[in-house]
Amino acid sequence: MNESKKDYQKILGSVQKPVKGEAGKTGSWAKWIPIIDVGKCIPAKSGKPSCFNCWLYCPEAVISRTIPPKIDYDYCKGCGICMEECPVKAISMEEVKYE
Amino acid sequence: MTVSNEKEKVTDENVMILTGNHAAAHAFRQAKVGVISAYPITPQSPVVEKIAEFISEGKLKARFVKVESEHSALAVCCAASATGSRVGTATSAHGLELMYELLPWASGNRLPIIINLATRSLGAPWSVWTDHQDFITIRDVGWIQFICENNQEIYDTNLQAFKIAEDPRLFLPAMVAYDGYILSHTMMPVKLENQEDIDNFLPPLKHHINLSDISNVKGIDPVTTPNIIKRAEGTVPGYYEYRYALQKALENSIYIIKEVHDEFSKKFGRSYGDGIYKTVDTNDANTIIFAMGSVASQARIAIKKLRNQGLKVGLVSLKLFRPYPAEDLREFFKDKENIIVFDRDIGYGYEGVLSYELKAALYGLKNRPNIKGFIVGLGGRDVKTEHIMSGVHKALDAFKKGIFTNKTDFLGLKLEELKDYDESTYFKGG
Repeated sequence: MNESKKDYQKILGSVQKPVKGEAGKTGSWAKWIPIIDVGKCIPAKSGKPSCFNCWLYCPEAVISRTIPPKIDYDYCKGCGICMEECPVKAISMEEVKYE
Repeated sequence: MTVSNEKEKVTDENVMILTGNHAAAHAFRQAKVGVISAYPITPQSPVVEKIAEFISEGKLKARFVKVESEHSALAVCCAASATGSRVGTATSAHGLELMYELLPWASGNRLPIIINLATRSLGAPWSVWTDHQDFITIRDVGWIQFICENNQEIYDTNLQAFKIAEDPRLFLPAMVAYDGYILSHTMMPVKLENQEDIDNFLPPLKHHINLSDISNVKGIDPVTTPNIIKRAEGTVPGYYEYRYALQKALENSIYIIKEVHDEFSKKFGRSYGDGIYKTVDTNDANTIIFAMGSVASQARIAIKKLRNQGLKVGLVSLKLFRPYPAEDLREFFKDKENIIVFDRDIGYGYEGVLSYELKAALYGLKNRPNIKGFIVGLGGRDVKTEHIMSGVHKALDAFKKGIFTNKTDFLGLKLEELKDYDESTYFKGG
């Protein structure tokens, strides 16, 4: 069916599939990075899939829904939202020292 | 005395007495629009009020999204359309200008959204009355733009507009305009068609995009580079190719608009010229009045009177303003002698838009007709039969004398009534 279409009829809206790392390793932008204290983290402590607020709120989707949650520092920009949302204050921000 | 319920019964076979706004609302109901998002503005508001009524009564199964501005209204429409739903809204004047930012997003993403526009002049000074300034001001954003002359035409054009916009060869947004108050608030008999026939004519939308399908996650509108690039999913067009495709779809749409209009008139027995422009008494006419909307309907009366005076005058009423049907008009006007254009709008700083666009469209004709444009009825000033008749006489006089100018000529100005007007008294003291 597509063959009977003219070239311009095939080009419609600009659509893209999400691809990891298309804009480079954005984790290098971070001035601060979040560190999870597994001693306080609810799923890590209880061993049950619960809470996961950090995973839910992360705007970059770099936190995994695992026990314990893991952060992909290659793409974490260090916004600190996970720290803000963590109900047990298990996440703290640590300054990145660039040489 | 018993009151008959018969009058209140709404069945599709009925001819109903409707305002232009309500005719548009009924078209939306019968087109089974899935999402409507709108913000009230005079003189459009009754369209969406009626739609809200239909939804609350269960006559239309749709989602009505209330928003805080027209900008948001069209943003909601764009997003809803990208989920594969049939979407529409209505607005006027400054509402449309507030939507402006989203208009090219809708056309660039090829989202078949329908806007009903009850035309209204643009402030300042503040005015709620009709002219075509809002309609012509957004002409370069890539929407299909229709304008209507009566309420039946509003209903019919809306149904056609959905079919045209959703055509898989096009996927373009479209606008159906009609003069504020003159049509929007004036009641006329409108024949509503059977729901079954409309369902046959207008099948459900098969969209090219469906963002609600989460098994296949996509994003629309990534940053699109000047050049063609390779992404993970393959080679994708650059901005230039997307815009080429949009323009070619618009050029191509003229044929599809005629095709859909043909199908509609065969099915429902009503036609509006060829779906592009309407003609009255043009066969033997050497002088043609060129106008659109309310001005054209007034000219229908003027040509009768001019013919009684012995002038062979006809009328071309433009129905499709964008894409501009230049080739059709060139073909039609190639052996005409005089054209007199009446604009209820101005391309400020130049002249009436219909006037200069027609002049440009006829460039290259061997025997180019004489063309003169007039400005009429801005801000709702009545366009009278006498104005149009005097315009025709004035233009024919000028042609005889060989006077051609781009300077605007206003008909129906009442400067003589302002003899006592002293602008300094308005701003004294304080």
